[in-house]
Amino acid sequence: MPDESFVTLALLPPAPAESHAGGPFFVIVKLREEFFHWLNHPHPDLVGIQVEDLMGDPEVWALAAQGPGEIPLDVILKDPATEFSALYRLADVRLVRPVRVTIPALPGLRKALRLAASLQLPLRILPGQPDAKALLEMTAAVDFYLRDSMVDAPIEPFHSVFAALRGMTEGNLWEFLDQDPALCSKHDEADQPLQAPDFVQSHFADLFQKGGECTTCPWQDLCAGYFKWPDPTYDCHGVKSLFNLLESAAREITHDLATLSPALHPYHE
Amino acid sequence: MNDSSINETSPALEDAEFQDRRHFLQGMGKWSGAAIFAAIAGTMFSSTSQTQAATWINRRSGGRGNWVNRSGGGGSWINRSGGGGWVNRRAAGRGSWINRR
Repeated sequence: MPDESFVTLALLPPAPAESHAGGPFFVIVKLREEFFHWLNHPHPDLVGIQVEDLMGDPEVWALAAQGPGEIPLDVILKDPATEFSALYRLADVRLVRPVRVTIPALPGLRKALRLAASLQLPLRILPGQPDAKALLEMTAAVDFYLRDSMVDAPIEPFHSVFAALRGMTEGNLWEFLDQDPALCSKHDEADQPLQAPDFVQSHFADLFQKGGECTTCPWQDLCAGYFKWPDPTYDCHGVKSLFNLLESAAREITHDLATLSPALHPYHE
Repeated sequence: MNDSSINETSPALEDAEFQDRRHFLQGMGKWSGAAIFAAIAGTMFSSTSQTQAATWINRRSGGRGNWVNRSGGGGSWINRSGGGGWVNRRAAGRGSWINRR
């Protein structure tokens, strides 16, 4: 869980963003005009633009590829099956500014992953509470992340979970996916946060208090109840297999590194 | 020089070790570049609290190119929290795969 020294990033609709005085924020844009406005007249505290519903508008991406500035974009795909082919429009944009693609775990995810990875775009997969079909997509995505030579950019949450399982970082899914309101707080049109800053802690504590599946789950620290929201009765059997896959790979790569000849890494001898 | 500095591994040696490990795993041909980076370098930062959100707000302090490493050719992002952020708070960290190009 994040501690209190964190500065929370706000995720704001365009209207409250205009007068926002509460520190750094991302603005959510859904219209071409909004996008052009925020790209050309950035607020001093603007740290990025979350772009929704504009994947199909080539003029948006033509402008984004020209500048001005280097404002990062988080491009949201809502239906990867129908939108994935438009990702190529980001090829030139990523040369001008940081771009991340956010994709829900839905049919079409694998196609979107392949194209995004070929463009070296960082990805965030939002798993939600995946059903059987989504779990198949996620399982394939884990394997793609781990094994495909084309994958150079992170695919979250796998990237951070894998690093955590290797002891290289720490945190939980809420943090890895920028969904912990203590770190990234979505606001309404009145610039009020939609969730309390201690939402994750409260949610997780509540799950434990009720004595559910989380209490004996080996992945409770990494998950922090992510897959028990919004439905606390969600059966985590399938998502546990995703963690198991990543853990198995972490053990395998640890073993691989152990076979590295000491002659090649004499630094600590 | 105190004890702690004596025991520290120099950045050059750390980088050489990192590169050796990375090349070794690449040579095995069974891991993606992203997985290799996560396995041997994490997500490019420690999750110490003070630095975590700082990237988001420090981007203006040294010019926009400071917080997001533009030498990455566009592949940069923000690393804000314990691994999932997408703008790199420590973009100058060793072995950054966003710096490779």
